[in-house]
Amino acid sequence: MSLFTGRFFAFLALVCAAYYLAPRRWQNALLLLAGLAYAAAAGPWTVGVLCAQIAVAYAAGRGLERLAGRARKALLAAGTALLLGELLTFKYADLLTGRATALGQLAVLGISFYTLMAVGYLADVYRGTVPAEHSLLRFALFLSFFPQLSSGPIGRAGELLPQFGAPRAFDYDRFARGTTNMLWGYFKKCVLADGLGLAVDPVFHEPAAFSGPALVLAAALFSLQLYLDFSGYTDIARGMGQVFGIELRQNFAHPFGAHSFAALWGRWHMSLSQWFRDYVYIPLGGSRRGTVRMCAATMAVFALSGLWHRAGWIFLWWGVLNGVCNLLDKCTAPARARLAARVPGYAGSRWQVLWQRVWVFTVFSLCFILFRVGENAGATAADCLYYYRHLFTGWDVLLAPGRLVAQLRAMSIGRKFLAYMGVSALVYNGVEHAAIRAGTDAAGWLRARRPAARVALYYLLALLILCFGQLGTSSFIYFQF
Amino acid sequence: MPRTTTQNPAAPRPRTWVRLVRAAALFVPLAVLVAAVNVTVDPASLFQRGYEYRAAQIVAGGQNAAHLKNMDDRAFQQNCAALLPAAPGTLVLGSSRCLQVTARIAGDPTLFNAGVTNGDLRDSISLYMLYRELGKRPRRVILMADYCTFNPAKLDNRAYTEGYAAFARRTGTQEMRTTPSREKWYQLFSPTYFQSALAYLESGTGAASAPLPTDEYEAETDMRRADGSYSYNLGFRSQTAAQRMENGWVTAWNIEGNMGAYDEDSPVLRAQFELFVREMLADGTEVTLLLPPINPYMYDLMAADGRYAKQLALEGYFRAFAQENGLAAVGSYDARALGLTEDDFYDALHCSMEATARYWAAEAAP
Repeated sequence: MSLFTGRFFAFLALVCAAYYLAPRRWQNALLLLAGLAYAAAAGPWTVGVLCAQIAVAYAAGRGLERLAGRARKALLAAGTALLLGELLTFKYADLLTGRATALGQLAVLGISFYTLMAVGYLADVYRGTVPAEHSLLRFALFLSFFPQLSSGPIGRAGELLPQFGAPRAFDYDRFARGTTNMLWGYFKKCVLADGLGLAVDPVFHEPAAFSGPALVLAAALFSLQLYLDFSGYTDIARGMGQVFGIELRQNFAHPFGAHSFAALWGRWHMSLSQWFRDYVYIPLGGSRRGTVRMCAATMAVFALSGLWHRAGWIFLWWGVLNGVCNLLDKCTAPARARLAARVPGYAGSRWQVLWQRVWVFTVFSLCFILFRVGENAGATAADCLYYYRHLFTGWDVLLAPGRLVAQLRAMSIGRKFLAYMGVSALVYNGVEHAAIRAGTDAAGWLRARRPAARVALYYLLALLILCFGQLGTSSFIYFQF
Repeated sequence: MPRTTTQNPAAPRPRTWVRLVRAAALFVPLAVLVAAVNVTVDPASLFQRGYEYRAAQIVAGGQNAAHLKNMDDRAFQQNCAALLPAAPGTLVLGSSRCLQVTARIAGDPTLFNAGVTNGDLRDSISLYMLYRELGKRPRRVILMADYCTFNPAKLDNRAYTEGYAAFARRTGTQEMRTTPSREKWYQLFSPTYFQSALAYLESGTGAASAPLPTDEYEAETDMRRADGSYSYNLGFRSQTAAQRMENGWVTAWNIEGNMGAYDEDSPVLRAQFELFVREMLADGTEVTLLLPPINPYMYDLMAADGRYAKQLALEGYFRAFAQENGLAAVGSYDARALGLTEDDFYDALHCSMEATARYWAAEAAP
């Protein structure tokens, strides 16, 4: 069910009204029902797969609570294998068999996300950091809470299960903050991300029709598009959670403000990177067992992360490339710091910060070319190489204004695009920077304005969405993962 | 320092439901704005009453109605039936695929084309019955016999079914029903319709809120001619085949998108088609079947797909039926058989007026 349809808003309003009007002991059951209905809208098989994952994780969690020693370890391994097996079956069957399979063709909404949540839960129960959940209702809700079902954030049992265990009365301020988060998320997604998509998509669909500067511009804009798309979705999901009195994890912490590539990954899709850190990187030895082990663990995490995003060799290479850049960044950090210290007045200056950010953004964008080309149906490694090779060709277009304008027009970049994207970018940057200065997020900052200013800002956002949002065609990039 | 809200802790806070209602009320003007723009600009003429009547007045008055925006074709045709001063000599019945059949092409200056967007058999039956009821029964009917005539999945929920329902009762056949469209009310507060309205205003085509009478045979804007045939706007009709491919009017629509959902042919619709033709013949109306050609690109796709290949085979049935009942049959689903190429089509399904004239003349030639 698309989050942009009247049907979805009617569904949300109905669930919300029932949730707060019904007796509190029914709240979890209502949310579970809503989650299953939301999953069913994506196909009946989605509900079947979700219920199977719930059953496996719940039973294994209860078993882990009772068993000890090797049996416990074996149960953890079996439970994890079953959960990941289902993910492999539905997501990677085509890749593993090298042909289109019936199961692989079924797009199971959110399976990548709730499978990680279930595996994380089992690991936490095994480690004893969370108790096994006894209530099947609460546990089922933990995996099927519809605001996070399709694309996360990847929640943790220790954070979510206690919230589902507590009664939730209507809290106007939390509700208002939730709806403000949603409004901000829709603005980021529909106006900014989808607007940038208009410029990016033609270039990635047919790079041969564009010259080097356009390829560079599209690669840079795609990084921004992806960030605004997914962080916009996260704001909507978190906002919906708050509407129901549930706090979901934060997924982004201004990643393009990071000073190093490794730090950027610590701020990007945090619920996923923290999951990999806690359940893959650290168990593999992390940074405590020497450089070689750290490098191996890092590469394993990034390779798995690549494959997690999509079953395809290009995504594996994308993960590996990010891993290599990450390691290079970590390994050269001391030398770079020494070099910076030798330049008078450079270390710690604004210039250094600016350079670091530009460099990190550039490397990130270069890596994400693989990601974006890989999204095209039937893309091959040759397509990716073609894009990289042609980044450096055709720069003479800058000396031919007519051709340059024609290419920009082909990217939908005209006066109207520049005007509304300019206004929207100003609004976005103004609010985000003010929020950072105030030590809060955009919704928190908006909610703290005086009523007149607040309403004016709400109207501005709503009008920008209404007038310039790509409302008829929106679909989140991360929904496909 | 950014200014923030200040609250007097001593002041009592309003009740929660009062705050909720107050917050919701703040957004009412926004909803009103959307509804007002949607109703006022109304690019698809969903809300404006009388638009179809004004267009029909122009056409029935013998002039071409240019500057058309989307409208309810069924309402337009009902108005035309009522306003036409005399019975048309030839009445064309079918979907948009027959709208390029003009009076000049068919060689009858009294021809009136009553094709409607996505028209199905029920529209054709109802419109014929309406003309007959109004005492304007045509001497000849050109009835579109399309590949999807008997496909129940292609029945349109906007269809004009009044005469058809009576026909079904009279002939003792099952009435094929579709749920009437409620699109109008969905669009009242629709943000996407609001954006269409803004785009419509921006394009400048919204400058005239009413259809304009003209004597031009082909206008820059969408136009219904005095003979009911349709002239697409210049942008649409002047594209080359390559540009159409590029714009996705042929390729981007997959076969299902172009052909609609496919169900097994309905024996009810087939029986009703046969009964309808025989009733027209019994009325003394001459019937010609029009087999509208399909873009060769799409024809090949259909021929390679088992489900649609069956639909293409309907041409054989229609030809046999025509022969059996002494009807003329013009056209062919296979455009190549008529000497047409991809350049002769506006898109996947709609043959241009010039190409229609060519194949019609060739078929009419001795």
